[in-house]
Amino acid sequence: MTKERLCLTLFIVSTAVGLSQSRSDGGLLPSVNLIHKSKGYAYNFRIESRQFVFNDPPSERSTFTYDYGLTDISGLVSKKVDFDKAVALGYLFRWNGNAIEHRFIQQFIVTRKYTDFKLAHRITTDQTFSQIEAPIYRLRYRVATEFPLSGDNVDVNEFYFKLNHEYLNAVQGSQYDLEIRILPFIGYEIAAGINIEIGIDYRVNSFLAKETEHRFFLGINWFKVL
Amino acid sequence: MRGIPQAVRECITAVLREESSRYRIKKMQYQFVGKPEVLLALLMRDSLEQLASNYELVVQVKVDNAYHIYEYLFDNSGKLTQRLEVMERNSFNIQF
Repeated sequence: MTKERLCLTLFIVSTAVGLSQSRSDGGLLPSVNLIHKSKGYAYNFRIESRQFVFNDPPSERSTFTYDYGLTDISGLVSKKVDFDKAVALGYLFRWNGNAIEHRFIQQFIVTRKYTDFKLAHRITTDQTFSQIEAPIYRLRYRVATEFPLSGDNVDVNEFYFKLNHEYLNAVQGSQYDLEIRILPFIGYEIAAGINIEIGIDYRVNSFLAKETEHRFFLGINWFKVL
Repeated sequence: MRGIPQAVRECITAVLREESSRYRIKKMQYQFVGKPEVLLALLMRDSLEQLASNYELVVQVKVDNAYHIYEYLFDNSGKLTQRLEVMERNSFNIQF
């Protein structure tokens, strides 16, 4: 299958799954990532905001109204522990309009570079605490791939395709939930160390419970290596 | 590496071990040297054994707790003639 057909197939599948189910909402999910490397460590500072623009509950009419979701400010420090492996620790501060949440993050990442694409496996555990809810403990696995849309490598002024696929297991009190995410993105290397990406961030959760929830965000990511 | 003569392979391995106790060879390729018309004639006759060749290796190396990628060029006797560091494009957008 050619790269172009694979991209199209994935977009269609991700859309079809969403349209066939019940409750859905979504909006915008922009993020800014600043990365700095020093003495074997990499530091990532990230700001991300979630804005809702539509809500489609099962028993009511669809509504298109703007609703502020949340803002995340996070920092992550990673260190290589082998040729292709790294560990990372981080902290996230979240304001959701009603309360502050604190999240502590631990990650193990394996990155492999093949002839014409890259593959990264990431295992994450995180713990989220707030004053108004019980703590949430999550175990996540994500596989991410990136390949150039022209040539064998991504160079400046070239496009690439990135696909993330993640499974998130969450436990809060006695409640368990599974969330699955699929994120197909098109990226562009503006300059060495500066990338911009745009794509769909699709999330499905609560599908083990009665009412499945689908979320569609237009993701816009900006990366800059300082 | 199995395609390299034993004596040459031992020279190359000795150089890499001197660089670091931890290394991983990612890629190895032959670099044939000579006049283009001579090389073409020998290739057409499939007489590769008559070709002098250098050996180009891309190696991941751990030095002083830091990980690097180097491109080494060895001549056909296994002597190191060049070492260049490879600056790979970062992968932060799929790691973070």
